[in-house]
Amino acid sequence: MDFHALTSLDETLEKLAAYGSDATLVAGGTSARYQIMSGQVEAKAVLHIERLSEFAGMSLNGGARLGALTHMRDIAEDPEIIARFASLAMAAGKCGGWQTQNTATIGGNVCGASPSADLIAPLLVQDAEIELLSQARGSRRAALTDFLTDAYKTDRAPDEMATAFHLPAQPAGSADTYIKIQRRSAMERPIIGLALRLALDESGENIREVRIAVCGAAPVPFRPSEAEALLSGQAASDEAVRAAAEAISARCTFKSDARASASYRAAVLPRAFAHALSLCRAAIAGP
Amino acid sequence: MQETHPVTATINGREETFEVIGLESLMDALRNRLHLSGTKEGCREGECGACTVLLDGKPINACTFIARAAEGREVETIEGLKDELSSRIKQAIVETSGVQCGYCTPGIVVMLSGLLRRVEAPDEALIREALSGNICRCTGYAQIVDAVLDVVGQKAATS
Repeated sequence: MDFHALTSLDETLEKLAAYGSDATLVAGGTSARYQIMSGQVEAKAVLHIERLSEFAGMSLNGGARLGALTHMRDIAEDPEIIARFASLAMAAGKCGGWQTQNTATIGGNVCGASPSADLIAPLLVQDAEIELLSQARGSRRAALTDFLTDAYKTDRAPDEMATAFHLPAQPAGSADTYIKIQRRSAMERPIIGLALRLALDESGENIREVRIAVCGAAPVPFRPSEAEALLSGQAASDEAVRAAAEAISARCTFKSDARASASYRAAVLPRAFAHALSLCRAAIAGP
Repeated sequence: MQETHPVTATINGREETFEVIGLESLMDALRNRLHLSGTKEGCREGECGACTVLLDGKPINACTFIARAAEGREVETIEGLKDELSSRIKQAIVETSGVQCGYCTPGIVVMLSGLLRRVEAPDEALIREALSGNICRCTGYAQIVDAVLDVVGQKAATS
């Protein structure tokens, strides 16, 4: 196995083009190294890219641009991310311990495309785009919904690397949150993860727009557009919320595993959804 | 024999060059190549925090970190933490009986040193959050949290 500790972007793109699908990109390595060592992933070449500093860090102006190599801990602690993209900060701060968050990156979490990756649902409710770069075709952007194709699979071409995530400016009078259902209060993958962004109209009563994303309940984290449409323009009556929760559940394939049973997942999801709605309402109303 | 590769990094303030193979973890390199066995091996997959070291000042799990990725960087292990703050943390953990079997203790001291260097007076909630990646099966954490509260001069809520 070849190992390259890369600090130059040109060299990285060259190596990616040369190795193609024989290369595995590794940033923090918290997940990728384990997958290689345990034989889950076969790598002829490991390209260590954590130190490509041009792709680390965040800039906010209306929306936000997060470098793909930004560490989880930096996202969790950033005051502006906490203020404007709360769900993302919450998810990053709940993904493993601080030791993991100090090495794991947003790009690694998303490109690993685990069905229970913490950061994907919060990015989906911001309508985030991923930016990718290759030597042959330069830069391109893709909606995250299109980028994630199946469990552990993405639309990333073998010669491409993720460079950034772009989050558009969010609607005024809106708030977002992330609910992570887990057995312990830390160090868990989500049994179910649910991110929500809620925008209310001027009256503060009716829903102008709601975006919902669920992870851990299907091969790919998804936006249940039927449920979103049901609530759009509505006063969130108990009945409407119940109907939307049913529409979310209809998109899920609940499965039993070591962490929880399928019936637990089916029972907890509507409650997580209702809780997220009330948290966002409270956040919009302010203190 | 697998091919070895040299890595040069600053370990506890001293430049060291050591040979590693493949994706050998920083933990294995510290323990087996540099004989710094204070960095403990627990889970080998980033779940328990026994192997916590500071990399460029930030706590990381040395067991998941590729040794070759430490090239040119600064690593501090429990053996190197002799500054006043770290010494106060160690002494406070002794005084509160925050050590029982002791296996998690080096990782916890390293984690807390990383925390207190950055945050002068964390409250109990932040201390507990910072320790969420350090598993201790003996103490139940209360004594360890009390130790930190002693160091930062706050009255322990549990005493």
